[in-house]
Amino acid sequence: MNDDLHTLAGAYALDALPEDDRARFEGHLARCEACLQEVRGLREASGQLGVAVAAPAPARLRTQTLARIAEVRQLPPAVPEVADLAAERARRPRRRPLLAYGLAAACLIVALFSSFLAVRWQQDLSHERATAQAVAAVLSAPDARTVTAPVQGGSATVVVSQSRSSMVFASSGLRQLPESRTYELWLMSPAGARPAGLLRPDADGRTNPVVNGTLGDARQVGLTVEPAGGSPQPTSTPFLVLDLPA
Amino acid sequence: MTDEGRPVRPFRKPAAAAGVRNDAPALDALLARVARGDEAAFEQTYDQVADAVFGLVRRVVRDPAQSEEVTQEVLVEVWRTASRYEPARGSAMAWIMTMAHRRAVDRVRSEQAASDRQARAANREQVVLYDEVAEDVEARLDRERVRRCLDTLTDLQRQSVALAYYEGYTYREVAELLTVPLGTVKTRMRDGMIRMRDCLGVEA
Repeated sequence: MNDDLHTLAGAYALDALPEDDRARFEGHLARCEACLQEVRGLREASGQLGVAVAAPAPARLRTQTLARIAEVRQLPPAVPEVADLAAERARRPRRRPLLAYGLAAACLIVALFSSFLAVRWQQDLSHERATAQAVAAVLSAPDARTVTAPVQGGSATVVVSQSRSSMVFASSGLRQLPESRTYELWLMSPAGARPAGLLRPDADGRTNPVVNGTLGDARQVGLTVEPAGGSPQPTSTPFLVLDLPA
Repeated sequence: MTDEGRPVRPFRKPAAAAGVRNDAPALDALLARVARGDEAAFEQTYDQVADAVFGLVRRVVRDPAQSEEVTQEVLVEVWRTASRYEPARGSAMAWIMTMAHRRAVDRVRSEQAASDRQARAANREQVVLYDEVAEDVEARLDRERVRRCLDTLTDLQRQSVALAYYEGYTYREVAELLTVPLGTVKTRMRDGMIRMRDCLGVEA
């Protein structure tokens, strides 16, 4: 366990981390069960600090809030992530579990992409079509391999085709950032990190798929929080790192 | 996750939340109904948590009109995202108070220059818990328990925790205000909160 990061558990449970530290710590939480347990306990305690300053809410607030919810659509329950589906399939004897896994991931990406496309259909449709074709080319490559990892409240998925030197990245559950910040994706090789695109989560935390056709000798993809517009080099340690299948 | 490790145990008393009476339906059961679109269940949820949410938001945000606005946002968010609450990850009250605190903190960080807030907080390092409220016995006991536990912290732990939680400062701002190194503040926030957790009898 990274001691320096782990010390942030208290500040995290008090919401006292600036955005960059918070993203980094949440990346760490996704991989550290002990830290997650500690944060849960500290959140129970900080919740009580809040309850201790309870004060009567004005009566009009009740009326307003009850009226308001009638106009607000609820989120559907979270359905099992791609990784869970893959694990479910792996438990049963399958002849081609890898194919099932890849298809599930492909479905996720196609679904994410379709919803993105639906929202953006008026804007630069030809560019979106080109992106769609590039995504399809990677997903349908005979050597397409998939890696999925939990990130913040959701998951990140990369599909890689070494023969096409390409990858597709999509994610869900990413926290909204202030206007002044953006998520930036990196291709990382022993020689350093190269920018691989900026990610903007929609209201549900999903990001549109990013395609990159210049994999080169990249061995990992990473995700950081950067100032709006992105940076030429990462300004913090990536809070998410995925190893690309060789 | 938790099904392999030690379960997260919520508040020791099921009625730890302010205003919650022992015969009231459990909050997590209510949230399950809210997730299915049950507006009556939401009304009961509102009655159980609104004072706690409003009190916390007002403590952080201060401005009464903005506090009402943020409180309503939080409660609508409870309605909207009830399906995403997972009891295995912690108590319903902690889930809601986490949402309330984040919203309140987001509001003050986006709206106020740090320098303003530092000036305002200059002589506010003492922890003040509201006493003005006519409240039921349960709520008073909760408040007393939190106060007793805060008293077991060292001064630096208590100030770090209170400035972060009740004033919405980042640990960097807290370090600046208390003129102590960043590493010290991080550590005091963590060991202070661990002591609070143990004193309050919540565990994870």
